[in-house]
Amino acid sequence: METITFHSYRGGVGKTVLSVNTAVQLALLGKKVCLVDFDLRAPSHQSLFISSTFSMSPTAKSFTGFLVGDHEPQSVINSTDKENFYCVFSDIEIFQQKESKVRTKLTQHGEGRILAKLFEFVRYCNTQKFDFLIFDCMPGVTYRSLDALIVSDKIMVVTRPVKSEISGLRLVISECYSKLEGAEIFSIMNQVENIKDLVHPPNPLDVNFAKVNVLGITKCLEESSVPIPLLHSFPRVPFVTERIYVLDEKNHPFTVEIETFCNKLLQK
Amino acid sequence: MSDLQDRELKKILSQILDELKTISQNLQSIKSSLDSSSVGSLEISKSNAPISDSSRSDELTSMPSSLEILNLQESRPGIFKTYKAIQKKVDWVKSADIADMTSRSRGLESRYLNYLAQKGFVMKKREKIESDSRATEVWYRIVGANS
Repeated sequence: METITFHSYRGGVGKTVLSVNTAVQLALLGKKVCLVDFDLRAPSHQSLFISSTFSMSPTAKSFTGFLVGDHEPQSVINSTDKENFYCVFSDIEIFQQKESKVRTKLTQHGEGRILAKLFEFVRYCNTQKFDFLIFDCMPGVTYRSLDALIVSDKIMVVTRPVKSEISGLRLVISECYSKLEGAEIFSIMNQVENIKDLVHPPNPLDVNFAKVNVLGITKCLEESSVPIPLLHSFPRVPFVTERIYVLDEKNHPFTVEIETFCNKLLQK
Repeated sequence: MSDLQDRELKKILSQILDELKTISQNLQSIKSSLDSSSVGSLEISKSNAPISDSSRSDELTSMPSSLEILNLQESRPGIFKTYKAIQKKVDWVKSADIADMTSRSRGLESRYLNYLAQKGFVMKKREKIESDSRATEVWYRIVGANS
């Protein structure tokens, strides 16, 4: 089994849409996949699955409950009507409830406990013969994102070519990725501006900015102390929202890109 | 040596003696607190008894956080691989088993595992190979394993 984490320096780069579509696509290719919504601060997978043509077992409990010792690992995995595809949701309500028992437990227990439980979940998934365990984790350098990075065999660093990303990426490389000995780290550049097929010609200044930003990210990755090869560049596709395109729209440009990306991933 | 110098010397020696006594007392109190502390090397002589839920919960709470693991890697480059390898095993393992997983030498893994045990991040036990022999083998296991 391979454990993969989608991580980024900052939010809003498209981690969730990429990880969910990748996980479902891998399942469509015949791999047994478990996708975990590990963004405990802002879990969003539930809403994403509701908006797609999906049906799942409503009995599964929250992953947050498992982390604090309330549930067993087998009780948090949702089976779906898609063969080979399983998903795990975090509790969307715990951070909205000030008096939530789970929230209190999460903060009371040592930080190491959550990491230990995460390792326990990985071991359980290994016994269940999953081919892939995919974590969509929270952005930046937090205890929880570090937990997910530590348990992973492969890390997908999702970047978006904007100026503010470059210095942040340098920081995450030196403070996190460089210390994750043994893990394979790849980068994904998302929402890369594409001047083809534009109705209005773009301002040359903007075209130049876009190029400089892509070069900045590329240089940052090349200068990294650990190898972070670029696995795939996703061109900016207008009106890609939080949906599972690989299920809903087979011929959508984003679906085609995800298929290409998954083929590259399987070859690694 | 004059009487004055002699008195001065005695005074200094007496001060040094007092300092040494204080240091000795402090070392004694540190030793006793380390002996009574739950954190530290978990040397277990007899071992295969199952862990209760409550003690398991306590063990998990003393687990290192991700930040501690990354800091450990910074101070002891290479130890992260050992830590990740032992996390894949629920049962007691020997350093040779970990060496097989990491493709590194048994001696190196043994050193890293001992360091992890010393920090309280893994459990360690020593068992006699044969009852009439003095030879022992050392086993390691992750903290909070389901068994």
